Amino acid sequence: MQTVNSPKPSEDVNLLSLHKKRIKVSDIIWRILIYISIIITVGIFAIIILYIIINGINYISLDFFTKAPNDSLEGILPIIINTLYVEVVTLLIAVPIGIGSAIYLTQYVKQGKFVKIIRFCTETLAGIPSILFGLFGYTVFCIMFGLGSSIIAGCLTMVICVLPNIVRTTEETLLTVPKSYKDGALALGAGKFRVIMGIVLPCAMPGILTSIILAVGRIMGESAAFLLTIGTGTKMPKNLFDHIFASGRTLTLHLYYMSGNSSTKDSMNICFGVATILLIMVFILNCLAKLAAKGFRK
Amino acid sequence: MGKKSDLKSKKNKSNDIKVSIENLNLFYGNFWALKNVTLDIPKGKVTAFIGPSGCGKSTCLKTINRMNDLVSSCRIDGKVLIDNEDIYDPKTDVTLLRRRAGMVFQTPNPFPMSVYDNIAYGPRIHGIKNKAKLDEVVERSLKGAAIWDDLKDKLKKSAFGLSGGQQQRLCIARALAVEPDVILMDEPTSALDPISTLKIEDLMAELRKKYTVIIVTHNMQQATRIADKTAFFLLGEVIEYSDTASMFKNPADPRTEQYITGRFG
Amino acid sequence: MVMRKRFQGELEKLHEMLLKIDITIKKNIDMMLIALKNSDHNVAKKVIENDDLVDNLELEIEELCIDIITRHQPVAGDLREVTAVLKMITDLERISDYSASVCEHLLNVQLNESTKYIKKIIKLGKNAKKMFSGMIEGYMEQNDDIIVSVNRQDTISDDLFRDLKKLVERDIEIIGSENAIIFILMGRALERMADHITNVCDWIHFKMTGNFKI
Repeated sequence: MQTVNSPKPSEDVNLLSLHKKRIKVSDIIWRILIYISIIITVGIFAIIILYIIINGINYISLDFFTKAPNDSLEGILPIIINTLYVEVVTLLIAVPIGIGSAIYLTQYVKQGKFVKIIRFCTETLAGIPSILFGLFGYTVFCIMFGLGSSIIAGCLTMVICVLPNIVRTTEETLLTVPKSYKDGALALGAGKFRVIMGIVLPCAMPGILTSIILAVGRIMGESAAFLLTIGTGTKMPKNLFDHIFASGRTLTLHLYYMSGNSSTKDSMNICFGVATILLIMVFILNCLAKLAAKGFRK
Repeated sequence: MGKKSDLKSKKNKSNDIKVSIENLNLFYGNFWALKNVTLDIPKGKVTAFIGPSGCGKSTCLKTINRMNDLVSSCRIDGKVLIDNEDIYDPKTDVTLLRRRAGMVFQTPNPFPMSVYDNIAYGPRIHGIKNKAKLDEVVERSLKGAAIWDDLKDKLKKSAFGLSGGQQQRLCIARALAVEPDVILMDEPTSALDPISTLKIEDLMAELRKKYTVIIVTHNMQQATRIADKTAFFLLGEVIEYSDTASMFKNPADPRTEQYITGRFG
Repeated sequence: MVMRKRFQGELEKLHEMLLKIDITIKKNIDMMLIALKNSDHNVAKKVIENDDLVDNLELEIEELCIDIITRHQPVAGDLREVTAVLKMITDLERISDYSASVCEHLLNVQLNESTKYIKKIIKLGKNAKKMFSGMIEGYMEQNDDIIVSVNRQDTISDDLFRDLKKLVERDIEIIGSENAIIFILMGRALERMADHITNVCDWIHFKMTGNFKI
């Protein structure tokens, strides 16, 4: 046995056995806190969804969302149609303008103070409470332009609401398109316009679609901006085009009016029904946008 | 020695010289990036630009197809001639110039589209729409970049699925598709593994039979392997420009010797 | 895909040039032997002239080797090949020099009865020739066994030279000191030639195996 010179491991204080795993109390507390926050976040989300659906699902029938409201039935078909009108018209106006400004700000303008000021303005605009936009829309579109309380006035107001976000998000994705793609195309002799249309925009498409999805959600969920501008109409459209000049409440507004209206017996139930429909529509639109984004990536 | 070869080359400039840079000065704002650069680059040869980082070698390369135009603070004084035509003349068609002088970049930058569309991008912007003609250009370009056999079954696949070396050769093929006669390469192998690098180097040896190749490299050994002539840049100046073998065996300037022996840089 | 075609081409060129210098030297040795056998001064002068060819070839090969090293940075077997060639051409050039100097000495021999000594010298020359041929064969076939056996034949040359020395020492009074010195120098040159051949063999061995000495 030649153990004379070797020091005994146990005597060395610094030498800890790898197998003496010790659990720290702070670790456990930390973990518990994290779990609690996860449970709260997910739980609240789940509870809200479940609460709305459970309460609303009973009220939903085929008639509920395929018929116009009449004395015996609180149908919401015209309101769904109004909502879709608002979505489509707003996006048709906001998306081209938004992408156009984003392209201008990232590709054409010399980066400097001017762009910084514009950026600051769009950011501020994005943070303004939407009721202010509603007030602005009411005085400018409804009264000054003489559009009255109409879907188009609501849409124009909404365009102002979502535009800053579309510009900001699109701008950011355009900036992430690698410079090397642009250089590669330019080195082949492509002009600036061709580079933007052929290389930059397709590359940024997923990001642009994300910005549109966010806008869709925002429009769907908005009520304050519409409150003063879009009116309360619940009639079915008579004419595809003329309808945008008609007054017409959206789903969120309908929900708001219903919740404050105690004259109808089951107004609360209608609210939940509407809310369920809203949820489903948001869900479907999100899925569609995701699918579209996937298609582009290929 | 540099002077002697200058005199000699001036005599038969019209035939052997493809790109001629005369007293070129370039400024980025207040920074004097290229100082009185004069280089005659021979036709059908590989010419390498070497030098430490920030010495102006890439900048000099980019003046040849006017990629520096994209930098707004850039100011150029002097002449760059391709086939005796000044490319900084106001009458120059930059689109045509970039077609004549194709460029391959440091990191492979295939576009996010299929192999076929990558190659066809250039011909398409120059107006070729005929499918059969495009097919032919794609095949010829890929063959020219020695990658046809690897990719002929993957033409419809995304270019991002290729290996780094394949991507870079794809980019070379993309440059060949617009039928240039000068190919500018900006450190084309710095992002590649050694084997891919050797493949690209072999390709360059092939390319010089048909094209004039100018390559910027920070790898001196690469210059020795592939270049017929080498220019050594330092702080925006061309210190030495001569045949590669003679530069690396017996550099004329002590600064060249110090750099290529790794004493500074 | 075959890679580094340019480098491969240059290595092949090096190979060819080495073979060319080998053949030129072998021819010189053959002619030297003929000159010795027939006391043919014209052939001897031809050998002396031919030595310049070898010198030029040596310079060319040297340049090519340095070129390959600067341009291609060879490693492993390629590096051994290039460095071995760079070293062995010095020995090859010496071998050719010795065949020329034997011929130069032959021109200076002033003796009627020289057959006895020249015969000894031819024996030395023949051994050198045999070794040289074996060396080329071994190099061509990349056969280390042949190279090793050639290397061993150097002792024969040593023995032959010792015999010649003894013979000349004995007869120095008869042939005169001047002729004696010339014969010794001729023998010495051929003995050194064999030494240089063993050196070349060492480098070939190094090229094939990576070991410096056999």
